Amino acid sequence: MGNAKQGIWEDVWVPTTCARCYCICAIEVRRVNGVAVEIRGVPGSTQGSEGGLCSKGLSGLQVLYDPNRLNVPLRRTNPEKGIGIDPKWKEITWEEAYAEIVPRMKKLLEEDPKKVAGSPGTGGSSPAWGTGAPSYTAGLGTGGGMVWGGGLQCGGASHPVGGITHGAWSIVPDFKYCNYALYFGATKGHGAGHSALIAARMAGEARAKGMKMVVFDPMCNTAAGKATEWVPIIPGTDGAVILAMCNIIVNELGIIDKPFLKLKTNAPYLVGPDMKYIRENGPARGVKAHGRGLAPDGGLGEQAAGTYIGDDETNKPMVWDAGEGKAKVYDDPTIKDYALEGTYEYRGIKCQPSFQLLKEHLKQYTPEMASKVSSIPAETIHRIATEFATEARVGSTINIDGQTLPYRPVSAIIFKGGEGHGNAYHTCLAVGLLSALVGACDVPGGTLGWPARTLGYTGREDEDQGAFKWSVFKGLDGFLQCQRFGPGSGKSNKNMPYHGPWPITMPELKHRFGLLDIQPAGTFKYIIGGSDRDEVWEKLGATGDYRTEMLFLAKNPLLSIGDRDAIAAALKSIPFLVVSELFNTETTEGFADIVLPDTCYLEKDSWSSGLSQNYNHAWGTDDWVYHISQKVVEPMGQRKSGDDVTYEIAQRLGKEWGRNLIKEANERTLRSAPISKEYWPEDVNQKLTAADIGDAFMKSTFGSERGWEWFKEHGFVRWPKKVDEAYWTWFLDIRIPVVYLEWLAHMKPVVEDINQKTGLFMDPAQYTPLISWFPTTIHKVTDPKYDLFCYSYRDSLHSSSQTMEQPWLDEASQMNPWTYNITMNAETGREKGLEDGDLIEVESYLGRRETGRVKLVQGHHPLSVAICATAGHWAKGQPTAKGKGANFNTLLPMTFEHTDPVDGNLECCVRVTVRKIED
Amino acid sequence: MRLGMVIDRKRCIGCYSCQISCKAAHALPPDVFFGRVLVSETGTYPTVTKQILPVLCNHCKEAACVKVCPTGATQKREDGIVYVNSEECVGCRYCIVACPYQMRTYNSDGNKEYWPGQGLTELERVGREILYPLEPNTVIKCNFCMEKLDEGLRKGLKIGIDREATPTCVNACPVKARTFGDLDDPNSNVSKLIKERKGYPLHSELGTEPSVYYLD
Repeated sequence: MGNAKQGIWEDVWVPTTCARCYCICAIEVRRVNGVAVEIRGVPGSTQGSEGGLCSKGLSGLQVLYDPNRLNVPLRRTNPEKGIGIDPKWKEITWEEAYAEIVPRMKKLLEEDPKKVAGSPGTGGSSPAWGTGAPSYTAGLGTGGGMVWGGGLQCGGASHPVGGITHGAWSIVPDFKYCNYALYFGATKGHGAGHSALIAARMAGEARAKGMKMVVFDPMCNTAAGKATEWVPIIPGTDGAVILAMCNIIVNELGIIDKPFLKLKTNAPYLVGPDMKYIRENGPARGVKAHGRGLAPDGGLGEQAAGTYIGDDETNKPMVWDAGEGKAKVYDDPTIKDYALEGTYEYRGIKCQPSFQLLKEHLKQYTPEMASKVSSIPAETIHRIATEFATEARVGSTINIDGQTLPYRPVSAIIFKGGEGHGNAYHTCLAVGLLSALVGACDVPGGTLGWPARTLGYTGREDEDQGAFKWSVFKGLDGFLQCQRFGPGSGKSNKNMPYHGPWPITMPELKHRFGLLDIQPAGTFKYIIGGSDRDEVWEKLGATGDYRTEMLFLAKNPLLSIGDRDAIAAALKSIPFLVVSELFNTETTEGFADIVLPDTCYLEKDSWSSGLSQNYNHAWGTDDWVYHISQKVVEPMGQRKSGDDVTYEIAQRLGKEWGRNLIKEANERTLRSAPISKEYWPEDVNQKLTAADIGDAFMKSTFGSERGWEWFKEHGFVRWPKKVDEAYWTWFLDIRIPVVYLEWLAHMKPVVEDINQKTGLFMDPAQYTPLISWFPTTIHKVTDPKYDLFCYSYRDSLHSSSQTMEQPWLDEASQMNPWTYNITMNAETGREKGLEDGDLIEVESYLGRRETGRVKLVQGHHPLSVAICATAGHWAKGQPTAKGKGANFNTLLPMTFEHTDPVDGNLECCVRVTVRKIED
Repeated sequence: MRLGMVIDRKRCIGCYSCQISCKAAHALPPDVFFGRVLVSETGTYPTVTKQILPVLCNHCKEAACVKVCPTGATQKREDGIVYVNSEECVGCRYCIVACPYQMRTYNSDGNKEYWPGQGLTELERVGREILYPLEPNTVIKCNFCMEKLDEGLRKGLKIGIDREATPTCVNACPVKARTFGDLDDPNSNVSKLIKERKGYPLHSELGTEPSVYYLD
């Protein structure tokens, strides 16, 4: 044994970023004799764990060298498509692939651009159609977007609500100063999910210093397994528990942060009998916007066209100045004291502050009521609410870097476990309300969003510039608005792509791709893969409008969305499917016509991977960083990156049309960066590489000496974050509308009208401005046979849909009780006659079935059954993954009924029965 | 000097980074682990604790493996590291039986592929042939990355401080649960942690005096 050094002619560490999940952690890859042999974290970067790396990141080497990787384009020769049917692949050349794709695409685009759709990858090891794709497909008017991906199970409610309440994609505790954190079905800080390693690093320090963490979750695994206290809960009932806590805090303890509620929320805004704000000059007229509209992919765009709910500066919401005893506009500088309670009159209309309405409304959420639906003892709910409110230390301050700020060392966060239900919009807002009541929003110790404000890069001597400069700002009716990122967004940059949380447009009976118009509160919609999509489209009068005839994918929806049979039917209905992939997958083997071999993240350059994500910057006072990604080895075989392929297709298409699509794409990308004219590449008629665009962006932003070559060597740049960037709440005149959801009162009659006209049912009861808990489809199943709640969860070993193929991760997965087993409560299992290791069948109330090995554990709510997400592969193209674990999504209904009526968020739990079957 | 490790179970999240980083750094074949993560639970619903216990060779002061080795292949260095001199090892496996912590592996098939039947990948070849060749038919185990520590020392680096002179699993931990240093120095990082947090070794009743301590 020994570390032989003979025969080594190269031994270097290359700085880049990881892409095994969407966290984009800083990494260095050791290359020996041209072979990548080891990956490690970067101690000097805040983008990650400052040196460590997660198991998925470490296993990236086994993505690069997996002998099952695709190396040449493939053409299906068996015209029959379906699960388990041999596609009879034939290897073809790239020329042959383009010859199949381009003429067909041209013909369809000329008939109707909507017949062609494209949908990029969401994760890391899964490939992504590069920045070129949205740039020119947006110009061509094609559709697609997130609707085809695992993104469907993304935060359909938590992201827009994160935007409304924090100007950010999602929420996290300020681990550095937090003493008491409530988790509702979230894993942040435990090796998975958003900013996995930034959060892990911070949470580790927080645990070491004694932060208490109370986790509401049906299973005691990732976060709950490390919690100070695990509180088992029936899925989908988090909202009731949170509102009961709010009730205790407001109506019993009276521990609220009044200055925060008065100055930073809509708590004082007066509401009339019609449930809408009292305004200076009568009812809100709405604000018409004629923006360029959402791009057809459902996200990128400067501002959606439509009627925004609210009114302009001439008709502001009113508040009651208790100091003078009269109504004033909310931002009148003469206001002495904002009334939060009471009943008043303005121009003969009786009205109350929003907070007064909330206070009365909350009284129905007694701990006993919440206990009944959630199974959590009432005294536990009461105790935790009291601990939370007490530890909030309302009124206390802290000095950081010479600035005195409110100190609120409590946080409440939610993600998919609590949010993945048909009542998600209200539940997520309830979490926001809990923090807001005690003023713990974007202040030290409280609940933070990802960095929503940067004043610019400070490392250069001349003026701060462009791309690292964005902020939340005061928008319509005084409420928080986010800048958006995307082509055409000019100087504004990032932090809330896809979801335009605020202001919000009125629902309309139109039918843009993915039900975006009838439910503008959310973006991710189930419809494309829905088992009832034909019925829904018919009701909307949209039949035929979205019959995609050619689809470009860089993902594996058959495994990663839901209801396998429904997704299979949807894929089968598409005449021509092109997939760019690392491996053959369930989707390619079942339904792809052409499969293109993609490069993985260690084989390609990117200037934007560390920029365009909205959750890879460390929060709190951690320094800013900007990283590049660069190839560690040259692409093997005939692999080509999605960027290269989309450019190639654009070039060929353009020639046919006499259009310079390359130039169009380049200019869109350059404008969106943004890049100063000084560094604008001279020739935009040619394909620009990541190095070309990156060099221009980097020099524009970080100074002339810091171009692509500098970053290739150094990997990243780091600079300090200011206190008013980290904790912006009390530095900016912005309110958050979390106390009263007035916009829902405006939407309600419109939604009722859509219901009536279409026969669809979006429950109007959920369009109430007062945050409420609603039972969902999973609570309404009456057949006693389906007595259990089944759900998937995020295992820290796995992400997206390609982590089960790496042998190192497979070994670890086999060593723990969870990953490859179906887990359930030991007592429940025994009552059903089950023993560890039994083969069981799980059957949903809609008759879908999946089998797997059962593991009986104590750390499980007695009514719950859990299956690790992304398990249960059956594709031959990933032999390590094949046959391991069970596939939850097979069981998951994909129907309109199974979504949140406000934002379309998919209910990600299902009622099931389990039984032992013979091996 | 007696090199040792402290593992903070309060920080540890059971992510398996220690286990996998070790496999990568030592180009270990399938099913061979120098370090592992054991996961279980204690208690009864609803009062349940998930137990996560990362384990590796304890580099015992009174190492049972050293005592039983008939050829002197298993040795203890002056800095406390217990290692196997593979040139002396005859593969008798007495040490595997003797180790109460089950931290030794007989390297019977160094050619085992990660993707069975598909041949060794470039990654496996470079690792096993050039970077960390393992002697077939000998016993292998964790040696606290001693080659790396020695190289680091030669460069004047500080053990347990500079990452080029620190075991890979310590560096890889994303929650900084692992600390490495000199147990003989009462002012070292590890000694202070053990004292302040009441660190404990596994199975102290066996009298092996491990050099790996745990904090709860």
